[in-house]
Amino acid sequence: MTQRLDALVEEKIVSARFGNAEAPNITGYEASGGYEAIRKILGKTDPKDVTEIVKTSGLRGRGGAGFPCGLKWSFIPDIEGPKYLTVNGDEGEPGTFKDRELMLRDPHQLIEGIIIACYAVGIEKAYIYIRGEFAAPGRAVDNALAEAYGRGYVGQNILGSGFSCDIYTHMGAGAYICGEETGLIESLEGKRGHPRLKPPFPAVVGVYGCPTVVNNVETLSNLPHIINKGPEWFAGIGIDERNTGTRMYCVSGHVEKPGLYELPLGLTLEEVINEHCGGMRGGKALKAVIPGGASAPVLTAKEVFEDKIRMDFDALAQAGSMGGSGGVIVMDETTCMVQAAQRLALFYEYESCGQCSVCREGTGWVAGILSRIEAGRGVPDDMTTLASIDINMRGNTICVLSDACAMMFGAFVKKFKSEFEAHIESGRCPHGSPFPA
Amino acid sequence: MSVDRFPHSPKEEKFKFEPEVRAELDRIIEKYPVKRSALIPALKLGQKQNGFISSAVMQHLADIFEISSMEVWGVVTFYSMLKTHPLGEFHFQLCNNLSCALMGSAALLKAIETRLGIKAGERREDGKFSIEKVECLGACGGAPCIQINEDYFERATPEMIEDIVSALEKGEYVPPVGADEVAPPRAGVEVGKVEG
Repeated sequence: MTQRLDALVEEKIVSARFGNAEAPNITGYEASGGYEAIRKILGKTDPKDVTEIVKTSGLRGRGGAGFPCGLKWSFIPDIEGPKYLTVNGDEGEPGTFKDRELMLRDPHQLIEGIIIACYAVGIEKAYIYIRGEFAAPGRAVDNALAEAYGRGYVGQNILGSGFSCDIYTHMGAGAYICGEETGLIESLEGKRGHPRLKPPFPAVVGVYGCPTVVNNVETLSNLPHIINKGPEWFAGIGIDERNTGTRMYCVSGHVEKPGLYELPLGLTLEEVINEHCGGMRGGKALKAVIPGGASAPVLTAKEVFEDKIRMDFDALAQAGSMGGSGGVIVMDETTCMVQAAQRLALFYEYESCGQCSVCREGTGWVAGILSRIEAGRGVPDDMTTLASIDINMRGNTICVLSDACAMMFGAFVKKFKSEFEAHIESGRCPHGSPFPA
Repeated sequence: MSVDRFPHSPKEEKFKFEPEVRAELDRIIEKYPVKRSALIPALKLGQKQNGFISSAVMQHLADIFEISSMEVWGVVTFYSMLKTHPLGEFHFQLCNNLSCALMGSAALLKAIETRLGIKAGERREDGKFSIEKVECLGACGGAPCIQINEDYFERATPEMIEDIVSALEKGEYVPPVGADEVAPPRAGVEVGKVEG
């Protein structure tokens, strides 16, 4: 299998134009095949067939859950009345930084993807929800939108096809939970970003009470290529029919070359680190890797090098972790696992929206206990308390922020138990707290 | 979670959007089928004009959106970028999450605090600078990352901090470092003047 994938590592899809300084401008985008996909389908291909093409491609959501994109679209009821697309550009999962670069370096690709999705589902209004801190990506998308309106790629009667679609940007104001799709919808409606109880899912009752598709920036950015080159081509990249195409792996932490790597789905984590990211920084030994953003359970060096875990949706799920958002955080032997878990627990505590008591209290308890252990003031009972909190935080809340926090610290405690115990027994951090909070 | 209380301003404090800001808000409102969607953009406009969100700003928005000022307050307290206290002219936001911590954000914070003479969470008395520790900025490949006002500075080092602060003190424009470099320039920035 690696033989086949090796031949594909040079295949870039959504980042193909990243080296092209003109790509963010409409002339540069058009010159490199831009807006050909909508020319090809608008008014010519039946919208239902577009959905079928996307289903055949096997494209799964690149935001976190990995839900099949075409299937998500097909849940939109075929009824009269307004429907919406909300684009999730509220990238905030620690370790993830792909959507920011996709919006900065190829904003027209996203816009073309949005038009394709809207055409397929019969949507005439799309909102791109961009996290508030992303001022520069926001300007890049606004600039591209103005250009695209100017050339008739967005707006009324696009390219004379009779299909009309307006796209707007909407800047967030700083809240991780607005990346959760119903939190995003609440926020877009001008409220606190409290996730909604599901069902009903957004496909039935979304923004303004109307059927709504929520798609991630990277997911949509793939669409023009799937239309241009065909679903079979896309499905041919990746390890199997359930894990097709590439992923934008966001590699950060202790590697020689941190950065964004677009690679076919199915490479092993070892290959990503050693062959593409230049290996471990300074030749140090690997201790742990978070493979899919902060919420993805941590993997050990043994799992990476001996079990050779693959970086596709299903292999990571089988290994008890997840592909999540593609954020790969690499930690070497100098890293204190208690402190790493503590740092993330403080994040979940800060970002919990507070509407479910289990999450509001649980995240605070976890952060408090881990901080105590890291400071050398842990007691043996803390391990029992953590185990009990872990159970209670799973499956008991409106959204999965609580579960994500439990998955995070649960994996750290289970896989690096001796480090936690050493902190408690010796009454100090054996690593000397490498990064004071 | 810390609990903020609704900030009661002195009775004489008044706030009203400048006509051009109000016109901008009206254009934003038109983007949405439901007016309330423009509340967060409106709060940002209020913050920009007033320097921070005061109770008078919230009352003005409550009138525009025909909701109570408590409803507005509920939204304000939810979002980290909506501020109820004035920030420095240059607001340094240092990412404090795991990737940046692994790559030396603690040393970076120390360098910023030392150079500016204030601690995280503080604003300098001359109003020029303020520092805030923040959660993941979404630029982990360029860790450690700081954001100064709108601009990101990736792979930031204590030496960079010295250069940036010195330039800002002299009133010079400091362009962002990293992926932000490819974005169209900010409004008000004259491209001809862009020279570190």
